[in-house]
Amino acid sequence: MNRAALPVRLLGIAAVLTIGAATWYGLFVVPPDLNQGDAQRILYIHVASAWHAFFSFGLAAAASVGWLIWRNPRFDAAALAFAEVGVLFTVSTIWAGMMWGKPVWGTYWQWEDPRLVTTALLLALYLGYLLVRRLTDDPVRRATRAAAVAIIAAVDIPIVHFSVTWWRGLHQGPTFGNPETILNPPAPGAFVTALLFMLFGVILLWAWLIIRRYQLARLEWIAEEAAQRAAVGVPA
Amino acid sequence: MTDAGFVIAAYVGILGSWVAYALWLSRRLAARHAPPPPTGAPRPDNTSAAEE
Repeated sequence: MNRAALPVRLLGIAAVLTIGAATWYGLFVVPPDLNQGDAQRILYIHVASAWHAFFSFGLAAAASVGWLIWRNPRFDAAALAFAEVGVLFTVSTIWAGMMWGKPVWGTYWQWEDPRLVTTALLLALYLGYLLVRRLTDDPVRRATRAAAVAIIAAVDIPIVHFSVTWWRGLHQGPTFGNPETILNPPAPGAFVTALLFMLFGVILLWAWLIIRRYQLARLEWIAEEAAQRAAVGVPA
Repeated sequence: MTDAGFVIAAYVGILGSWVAYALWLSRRLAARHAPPPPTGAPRPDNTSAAEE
């Protein structure tokens, strides 16, 4: 193992341990909620997934802007890593939301709810981003087309965030929507601790996944360039 | 399904998908880092480069 790989491996180990401990804390230490019962335990992983999904898509759009300006393949690799991991966390968010919604709302899904629909749209847009990347083998054309999709899709991120304040629906408003609720959370301390614990673990996992996906994207780009040079007879 | 059943389904589904994605990434990276087979070594599918 080279020296650069050791911190990434340690990051992965820390992510596994922290998420394992946060899951144990959320499932077995925190008491059931007075109204929601045990279903509230789902919210820790739901909220952590959602925040990282939106963060990932925002960074994918930023990296895509970087590609369009500087044409550096590292930006394209970063955009791909952020978008793909964002899709993973969005699917996690929706799955957790459905598992929470059935016992608490009485339904897995409601198409009239703005937060649910705009989140599903966000997932569809970034799945489209991943599909657009498969339309051409030319790395430069692929990166440019994908960057345009990522930037356009990012318009939906603030719409998802503000959907609970702009329109009425089943989904509750933002729990930490202003500085007052951040400093004095409207939830018992054990619930907030469980959420922060899971958030910390997911931050570690998210960082590990991004680094690994970025490394893979860079290796794929380098291999593509080498194959293209070989095809036209240019020495590597 | 009980509340506990939904909680288990949520955590197993999400943690399982994260582990599956991490394993997929690690396998793809390991394949990229694997050295090419030495020249003249038998190919796993018993074909030669000239046959392709």
